[in-house]
Amino acid sequence: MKSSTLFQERLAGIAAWLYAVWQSRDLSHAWMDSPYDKAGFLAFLIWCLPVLLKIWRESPMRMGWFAAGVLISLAGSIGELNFVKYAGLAVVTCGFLPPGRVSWVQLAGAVCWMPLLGWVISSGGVTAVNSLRVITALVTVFVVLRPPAFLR
Amino acid sequence: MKKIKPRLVWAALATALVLGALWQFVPLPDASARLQSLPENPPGVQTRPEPLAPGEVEIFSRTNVIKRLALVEGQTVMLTVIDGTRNRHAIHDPRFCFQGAGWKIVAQDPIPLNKGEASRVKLEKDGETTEAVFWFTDGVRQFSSPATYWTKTTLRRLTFGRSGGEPVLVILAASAGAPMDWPKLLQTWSALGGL
Repeated sequence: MKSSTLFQERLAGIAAWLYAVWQSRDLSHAWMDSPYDKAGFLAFLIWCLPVLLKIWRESPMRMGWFAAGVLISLAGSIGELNFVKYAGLAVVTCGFLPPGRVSWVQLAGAVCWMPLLGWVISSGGVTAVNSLRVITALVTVFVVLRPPAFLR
Repeated sequence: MKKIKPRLVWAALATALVLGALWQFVPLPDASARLQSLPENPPGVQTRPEPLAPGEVEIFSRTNVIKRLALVEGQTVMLTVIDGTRNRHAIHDPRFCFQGAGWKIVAQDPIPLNKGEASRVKLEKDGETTEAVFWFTDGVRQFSSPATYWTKTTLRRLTFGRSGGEPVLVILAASAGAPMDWPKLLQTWSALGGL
């Protein structure tokens, strides 16, 4: 792949990611203030590992995912629905992964850092929710970096 | 398959920035008129305004809020009504907030209202018990599902308010340990049904 094309793709991806991060800035309040989301930032960092490891390889990025993520973030912003904005951030982030089924695993694993998870299983208790966040992030990273044959 | 070019991402970004900026200029009607229509001391009810706690002042910034301590036929409750038109994120699932404050929900059941239903939750913390009743209302229908609230508020923002009135959150919180007769309280304080 030509390095100029790769540069253009990365640049577009980073711009899309910054937009989605800006739209998702409320996440920082949730991670700091909500007891159910305390491990959310740690889970997010772990969840980002596959992207950080693969972004440097010269593999194509998914422009369609970047564009879709931006529009999902916009919909969340206009509708004032945080989890839609966070879904947009997840889609944009997964766009940095090379095409393949593992992108969908990475996308599904994004629930580990979203406040939505805490709301859905809040009855399980604070410790259980935060533990599940980290475990889900670790499992996602493991599957994405060492995918089983049917996901390759 | 045709390869999608970075140009599409830039086009999506430009669209998002322009639309996002334009949407801010379309005013969304709020529910302040409904909140103001709530009488302070209807028959059988005595209320007095309560100041917001410092944390609430921050959380409820840019919202319309009513917070009143009420005495209804010998039963004391704290009424909080929140209109989140200008700050939708100030309104959360009350059950999530109770749990976040350390309360455990030990029971939950519906209570019928004049235009729908509320949800009554029994809470426990450190051997202490209390109860609260909450519902959302858009002036036409009362409901206790946060998912319905999110759907209605989102639809309203996407349609510039044409889909209906802004749902407000109504919470009645009892004092710890106080026995409550909610149906009787709600019957006496029927003005709440008009919100």
